[in-house]
Amino acid sequence: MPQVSEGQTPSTPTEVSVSSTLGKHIGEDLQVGARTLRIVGIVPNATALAKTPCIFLTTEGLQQLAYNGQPMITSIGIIGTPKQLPDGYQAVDRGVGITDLMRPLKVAVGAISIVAFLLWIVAVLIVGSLVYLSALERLRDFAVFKAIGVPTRSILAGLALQAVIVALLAAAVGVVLAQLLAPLFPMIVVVPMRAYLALPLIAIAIGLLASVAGLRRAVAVDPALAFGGP
Amino acid sequence: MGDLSIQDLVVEYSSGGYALRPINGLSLDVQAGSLVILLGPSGCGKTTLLSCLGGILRPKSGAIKFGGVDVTALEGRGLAQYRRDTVGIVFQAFNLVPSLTALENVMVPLRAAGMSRGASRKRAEELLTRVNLAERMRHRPGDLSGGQQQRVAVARAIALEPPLILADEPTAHLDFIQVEEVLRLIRSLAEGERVVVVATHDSRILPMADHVVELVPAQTSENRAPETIRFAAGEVVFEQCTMGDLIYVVSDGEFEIVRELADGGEELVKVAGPGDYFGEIGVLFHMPRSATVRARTDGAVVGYTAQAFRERLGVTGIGDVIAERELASD
Repeated sequence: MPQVSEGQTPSTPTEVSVSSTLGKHIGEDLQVGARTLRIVGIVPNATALAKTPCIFLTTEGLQQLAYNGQPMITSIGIIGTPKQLPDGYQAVDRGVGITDLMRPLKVAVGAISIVAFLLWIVAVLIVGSLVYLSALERLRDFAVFKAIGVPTRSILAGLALQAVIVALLAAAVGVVLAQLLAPLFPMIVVVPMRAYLALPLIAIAIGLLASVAGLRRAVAVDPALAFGGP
Repeated sequence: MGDLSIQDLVVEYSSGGYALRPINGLSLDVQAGSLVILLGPSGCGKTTLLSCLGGILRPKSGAIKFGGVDVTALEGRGLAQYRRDTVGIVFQAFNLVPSLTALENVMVPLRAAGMSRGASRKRAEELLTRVNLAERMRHRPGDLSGGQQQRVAVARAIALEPPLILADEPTAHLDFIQVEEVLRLIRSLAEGERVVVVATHDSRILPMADHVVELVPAQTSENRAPETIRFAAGEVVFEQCTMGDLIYVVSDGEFEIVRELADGGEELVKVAGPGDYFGEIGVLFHMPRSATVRARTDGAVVGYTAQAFRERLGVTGIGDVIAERELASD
């Protein structure tokens, strides 16, 4: 039974402790199916399956609520290794347990991954058009640089650097926004640390990829463009 | 560093599919330490020649040698190095980078040559002081007058002490007060072994030159009586891109007027028969021939100088010719 932040843990089949996200108070009644339960405790932020609030009952209370009073227990959480298992039970470790609990979220996680991938494509297009337009605007400058003997690779390095800086700044803004917006998201989203570590690397790759069009344009600039009127 | 030598230079490019040779067999020798002005109207190949000298445009044939280096044979890295270390260019439109200050603009070639930031800054400050812009180093081009921008451009051009300076219409966008400063500055560059080549169509700046090269030689407008010339079938009357002083009226036979294409082929413009004339625009406007004319059959033409042609036209004159009206018969 999880720790309650106020009240107490349920001790009779008609008592229940509920997640704070449900917005209920101690002493109120909670209608679950055909049964009316009395709230005796509040458990902070206990949710499952993306923000669905949890409620906690005694074993007997759950059996009356969900299994018609049958003496049934689907799973038992223990600390340590069991010497012997009751008939019909099997032991799984923590990892398997988490995977099993996460299984209903697979679709949601997949959907988020697809959206993330699409956003990376959008990022490439946005950074790419920014760098391309910026290159178009400076074609004459590039022509002048080439005409006065600046190697083409220095010009390209400058453009690529610009794209990488834009992508890195955008990634930094993304990190800050993620921190600010995560609580407002309708699901609880955990961003793993390795995502933050991988972000700059992906941003650099995105920046370089995005700058290809601009780089091709800069390579093609004819230094003779520098001659002639303004 | 050395003398500049141009031998039999031909530059050809494609203009709307037609072969155009703005420079056709130019030869020129310039001694070290002199200032040369390339004079000519627009479109006569001044900028084209400067581009070739600067290693920016590759000529079709011929050779450019500067101080013993054959510029036309340079490739890739050697070419970039030549552009950076041997040539300094002052552009007609100044071509400073608008987002950089005067100082940073001058630092560009120094940094490209691998000089450290501090050293290139110091050198750029010296150069800007030399062109009397010590007070305006931190200004961006937009805050400088045309003459000041051009002086920054000169400072950039001489940053690496190149032995060859090319200036393309350096005074085109300047008023006469600004021109004075820029002319003095450019004249002062032709010191020691350095060669300065200035392209312009403004004949007022000629007095500062050691040599003047007219890219379109002045036509001797010597008037001659019309002469009848006979051509056998297949003989060429004149070739595209050459200069000439006669306008031809066909008196007998057929002549084909063809335009050379950039891909080596040719396109028939028209066939001229008795009474038709050709070659008038090039002669009247001192431009190169825009097409080649060959005799299609044995035939004869009467060649008129511009003046004789005007006399033959009578009062309605040149306007009728440009409008391509038919000639009154003799």
